Amino acid sequence: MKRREFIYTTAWGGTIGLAAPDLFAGTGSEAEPVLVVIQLAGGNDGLNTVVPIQNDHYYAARPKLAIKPADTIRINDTTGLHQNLAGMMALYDAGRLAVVEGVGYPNPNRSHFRSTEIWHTGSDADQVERHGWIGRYFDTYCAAQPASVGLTIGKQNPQAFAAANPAGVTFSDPRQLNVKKARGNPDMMMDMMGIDDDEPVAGDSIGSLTGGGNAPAAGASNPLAFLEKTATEADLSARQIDAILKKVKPGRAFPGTRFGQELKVVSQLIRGGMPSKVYYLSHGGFDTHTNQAGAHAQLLKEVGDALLEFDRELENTGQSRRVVVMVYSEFGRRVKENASGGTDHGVAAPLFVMGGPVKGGFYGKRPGMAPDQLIKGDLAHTTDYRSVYATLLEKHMGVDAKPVLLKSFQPLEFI
Amino acid sequence: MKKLEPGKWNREHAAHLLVRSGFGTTPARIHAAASQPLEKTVAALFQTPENVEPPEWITDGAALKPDFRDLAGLSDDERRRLRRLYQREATQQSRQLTGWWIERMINSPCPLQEKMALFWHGHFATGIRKVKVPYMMYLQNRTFREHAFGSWQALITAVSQDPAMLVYLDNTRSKAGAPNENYARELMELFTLGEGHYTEDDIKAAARAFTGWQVHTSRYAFFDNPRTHDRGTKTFFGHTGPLDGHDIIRIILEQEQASRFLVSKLWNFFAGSDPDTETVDELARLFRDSHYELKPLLTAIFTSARFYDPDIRRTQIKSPAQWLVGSCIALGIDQPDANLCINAMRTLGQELFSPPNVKGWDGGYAWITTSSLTARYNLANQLINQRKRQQPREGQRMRLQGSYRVDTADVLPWDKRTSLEEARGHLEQVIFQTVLSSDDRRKFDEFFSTQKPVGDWTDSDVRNILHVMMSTPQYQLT
Repeated sequence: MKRREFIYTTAWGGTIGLAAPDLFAGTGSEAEPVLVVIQLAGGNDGLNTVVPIQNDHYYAARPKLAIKPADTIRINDTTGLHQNLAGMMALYDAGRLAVVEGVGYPNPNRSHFRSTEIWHTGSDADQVERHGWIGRYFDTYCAAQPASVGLTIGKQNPQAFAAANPAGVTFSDPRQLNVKKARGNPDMMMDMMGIDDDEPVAGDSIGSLTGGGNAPAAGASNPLAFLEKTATEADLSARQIDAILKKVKPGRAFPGTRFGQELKVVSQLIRGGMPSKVYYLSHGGFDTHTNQAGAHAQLLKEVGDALLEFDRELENTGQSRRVVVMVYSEFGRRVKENASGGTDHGVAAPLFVMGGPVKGGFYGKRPGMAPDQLIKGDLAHTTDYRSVYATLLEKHMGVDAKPVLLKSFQPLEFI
Repeated sequence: MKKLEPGKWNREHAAHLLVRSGFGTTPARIHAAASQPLEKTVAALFQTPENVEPPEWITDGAALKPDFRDLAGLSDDERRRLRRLYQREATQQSRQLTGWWIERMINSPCPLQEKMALFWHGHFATGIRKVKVPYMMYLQNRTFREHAFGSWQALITAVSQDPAMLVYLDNTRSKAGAPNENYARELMELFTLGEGHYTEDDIKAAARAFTGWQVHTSRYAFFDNPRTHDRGTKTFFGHTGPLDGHDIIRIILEQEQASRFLVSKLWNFFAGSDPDTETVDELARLFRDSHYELKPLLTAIFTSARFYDPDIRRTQIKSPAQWLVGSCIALGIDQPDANLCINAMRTLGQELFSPPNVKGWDGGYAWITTSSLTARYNLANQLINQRKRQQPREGQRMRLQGSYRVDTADVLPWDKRTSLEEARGHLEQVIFQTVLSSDDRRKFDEFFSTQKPVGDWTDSDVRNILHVMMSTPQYQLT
């Protein structure tokens, strides 16, 4: 266990050689497609996000909450974006924002918990799947990748990452990845923790600092070897992330909101050649049962502003063509407003996809809002959410979606 | 099953039995167990305490549902305030429930009872995010404890009538004419038979049979409602008649597959890997022959030679509960900080009363990710170095903060510090409950050789040594 180059010493006690000038250029991972998945947790009110400004049923159902056409950012004769979505509008104007209408699934479930589970596992409403759709993607197509193939900013890996061979690195703050080391000889401490830091050599690119190899199938082989491999991978990703965040500085002023700062970190990691293929973020607070108007407006502003900065940052640094962002929510909200100035749990809602590879515009069919077109007061979905997943998998990630989604779904045209 | 020969019963095997049938153990308990015959030690595992003190907030009134008619005369503002109050109380209760259970796992005189309660919680997985009412989760937990190793048939019946389960899998909304199939399906797929051992028609029939089993309208209790029960004729596994829930459970247990299903899962839970066919055959036969009584089955597992094979011992990845509770036992923490525990269990991926879904926790290798392993290393450090906290503030009704501080003179008594060899041997027993393999031993030897002479170890030195020992891959195994 000999250390060969000391440039950065991370809190793990690990070191990383950063001498090579072309460290962040030309790494294999640069050309790899990246997917950023963002959940607006709580159930975003789709109708007040993408506003049907010509629909009398909308205005009749929401005497207090409906947004007047003049108060929206007008996209076309029938559609206005919430006025706080100037960021999204800029993306739309640049032809980089797709709106998929009426996304949902048959026999919808109005529980946050269960509907989130359905979106995460990619299951039918009456099926329980153990693993997540992204987890199945990792299992099927990323077996040789390091654990950081999936990266979550949050408290824990989302259910979408659950897999037979679980992958994924999670942090709400990158410092959490650092192990608080015991006192003693650093090499020995690393060795005790099962971390083999003999691998990286000075001049190696960060992108190639991958632990490699497979987690053994459950119940198989040697658990100690598996633990040592995981410890080594944890160390590697911590060092990679640490080194990238120190080296790659943001070129734009991201909003100071938590969400803005999270997207800033994601943009740094993408630019720094982190080998992550999927990033997962969640923005909460969308469960607007009471006094919705002000709170919802604030939330949308946070989302739109941060996403615009993110897109521009990637565009300015030449990364945009490999990154697609999907913004979804576990359900939309009831068409009719409730008595507390809010809206209750609903069903189908529009979903956003954005990024360099995206063909901007509207996709899918907007659900009708006449009373006889509603199902129990909710919009009937027109696009299965898994068609969106299928599009991302096949046209962006470049894989056959069927093993991931367990069935065939028709991809859409937004990529 | 071939039994472990009496001559082979030793300290190492006793340690294995105690940690696997519980959450952790101490050198003194290992010594006591090894000093008596295997049969006697195993029999003692089933001695349950007479009385289990419930969490503080369990009072007579807790079983009553709040009467929402009370809200009728209130203004919107008052109603909102009341709702917030309920919510805050529920959050407090559920946190205290988790802390209470973890304390039981650490301190119960019958660890196997708590370990089985945890097994049943993962098996009949039910989550508070849907059930919402902590009292119902407590009731279910009590049921798991009471039926921990009694009759499986009695347990399945109790779970089928358990308020939390009735809510979680929607049976409480299932009525004649509009049966909800959720419970019927999971009962067969996840709880008793496994996928592929029943038909869709069986599910439909079972769903009709379970109609009327619901939660009482004014109390959190089971109510067999004759008005919503479907009294019609159903055909289930070839049996035709006006079947009800009891009939369904009885017929399911007539299937040989039911015994094989549970036996495999229990073996995996305790032994850490899937059983071979022969083990399944033998245990399943024994389970059926003993009319689905769990105690003879568990006794057979714990006294079998196979359970003590080298490939079974120290090869199981600790679950977060095993890790946390075992760490508390090793470090002599009997009242840990509940906030720390709740946070630890969530971070490590085993949030009690909130399994990820009806399938429970994956377990095994799935417990370990780069993030969770890092968290285990850091949490070990936190547990060892936790400072004493102040007693709960005035008016803070529920105790969530523990007031412990690890006493290094307890973990490593002065009389064990006469030589490095002795101190090291003692710590190895306390932390790993075993003599490590020669490879691992070399590694720890190297580490200990860099330490000061034992006589000079300060409190902080011992803490640091514990920190090192618990931040290892070896510590994640049991």
